[in-house]
Amino acid sequence: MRNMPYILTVLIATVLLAASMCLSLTSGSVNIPAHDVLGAFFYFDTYDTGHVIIREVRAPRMLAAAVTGAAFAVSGAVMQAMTRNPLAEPGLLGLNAGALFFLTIAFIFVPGLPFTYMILMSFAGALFSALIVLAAVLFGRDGMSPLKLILAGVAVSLFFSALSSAFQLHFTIGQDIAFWFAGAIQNIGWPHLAVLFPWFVIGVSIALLLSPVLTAISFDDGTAVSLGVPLNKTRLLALASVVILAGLGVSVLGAVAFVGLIVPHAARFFAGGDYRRILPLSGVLGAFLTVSSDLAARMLAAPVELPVGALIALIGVPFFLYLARRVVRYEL
Amino acid sequence: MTNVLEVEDVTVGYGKKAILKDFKMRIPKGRITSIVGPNGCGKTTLLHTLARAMKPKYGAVLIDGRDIFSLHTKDVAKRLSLLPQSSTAPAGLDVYDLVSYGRYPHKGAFEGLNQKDAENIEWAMEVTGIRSLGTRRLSELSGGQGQRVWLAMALAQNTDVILLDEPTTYLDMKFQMEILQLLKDLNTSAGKTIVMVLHDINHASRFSDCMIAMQSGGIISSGSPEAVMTENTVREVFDVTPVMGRCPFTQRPIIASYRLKG
Repeated sequence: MRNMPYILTVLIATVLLAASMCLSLTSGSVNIPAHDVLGAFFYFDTYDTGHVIIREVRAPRMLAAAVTGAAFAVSGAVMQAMTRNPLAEPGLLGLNAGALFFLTIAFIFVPGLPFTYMILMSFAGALFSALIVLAAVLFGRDGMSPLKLILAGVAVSLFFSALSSAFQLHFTIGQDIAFWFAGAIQNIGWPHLAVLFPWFVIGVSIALLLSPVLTAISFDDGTAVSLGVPLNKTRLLALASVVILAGLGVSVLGAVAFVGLIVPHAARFFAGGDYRRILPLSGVLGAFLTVSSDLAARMLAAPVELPVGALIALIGVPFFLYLARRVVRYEL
Repeated sequence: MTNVLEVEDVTVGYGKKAILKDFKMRIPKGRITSIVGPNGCGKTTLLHTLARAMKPKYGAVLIDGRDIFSLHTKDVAKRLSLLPQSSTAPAGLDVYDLVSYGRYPHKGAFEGLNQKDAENIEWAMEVTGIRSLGTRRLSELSGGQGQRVWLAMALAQNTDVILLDEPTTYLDMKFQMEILQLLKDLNTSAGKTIVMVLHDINHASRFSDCMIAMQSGGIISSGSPEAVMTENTVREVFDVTPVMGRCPFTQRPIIASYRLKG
């Protein structure tokens, strides 16, 4: 009985997501009717432009938006639980800055690197910075406290951002990088999805399996230990899921911190404070936000495409300000 | 008398600074033990070490004769619970959800609450007087109500040993007495071992079987309230000159009043 309103909320969110995914297939610079969309999957005709657009452009792009949106949102929720900080998001671990730095290096030293490798570079950069943060925290005394994690993350983040800016200025590649980030999702194809999707499944599985422990660990240390939560082991696993999910998110969408920050709050608003309920709802809402933002990015100024990140911020900021007014009702 | 918890030559602290050094102590099973002492004497550190929330640098804490860190932490959590001095909860959790997390150590990761869990939760909410608050959020409650919610969570854990760090601190007089009486009842009726840090030394004397008086990380005196609550001990531990009296209800020694030394 207690779960009824929650299940209903998840259902509604899933229907919204499904609707936005369908719209995302039919709409764009060319509108393709629904039966042609179905046709593209069930009796594909290589000479039908509509079919080709659906199969090779819109479907992978729509799935990439859904996967990265869900990944960002879930990793944001995990971050907030792990750091006990409602303003935490994966970018705090230096992931975005690390990804950006590796991309910058790639643009300078191996220009013209194929798209798949660029995605992998940016994923590697996110992992690399997370490892530095982790090393800094683990070699300190008294284990990994949430505060130390954030401090180390911010320091590493600033360091990589500074390096990236310096390199970009010196080699005048700032614009290329900006274009790359704005356009990465346009160039997503099935092979890239095939690389990203297993990581997504691994990251989300870790997060969902951890979800009961995440609520317990977001109490104070004393209470969490009293309930039998192994603090360091849990934090390490949580960190792994954040790095994997946010890493793949950054490599496709760029540094869209907002999804990871806002969506968990929206989920909390509907689902209450238990992470067993927050995580799945965050995933669905995150996918919905990104898919519909991507759709809007293609539609609003067609045929010109707007950067998806900018649209997410446009939708996200007012919503976040609204939430910030309500957040005083929670204990921060 | 068997001891449920034993502290064996424990050195523990933050960073390089040791708060307790070569510390030894026994907690008798089925009794109420109170730890008293001035601010900063290491009471909370001791309680957290007993609860494995702090790991000793040297020495060990034994629970029923076994090193507490050698056992699976979830198994320890079925036998021992801790109510910290101040606790924080994730935003948006309602009171019932929070109390139900007391059942966490008894459940598999995705196991729902069963009848027994629900009974434990409702009982804990009943005895702490928060039954009507189930759907409220923690942030809407007063300090005293909040303290009762956390106590209910610790009680829902239904452990044989309950450690409490100043459980009466935010409460008004009546509810202080209700909590202490509740702990006493749990001790007599269910044989629970209660270990608490108490600020009010008179409450400690009145409700405990054993008292431990600490100062600067060491034990000055321990034993029955009669043995610990002497003018000399109070003078040494709290650095004040007391006037001793008797509790009219229990005939235990209490401090009638006190003045500064000198």
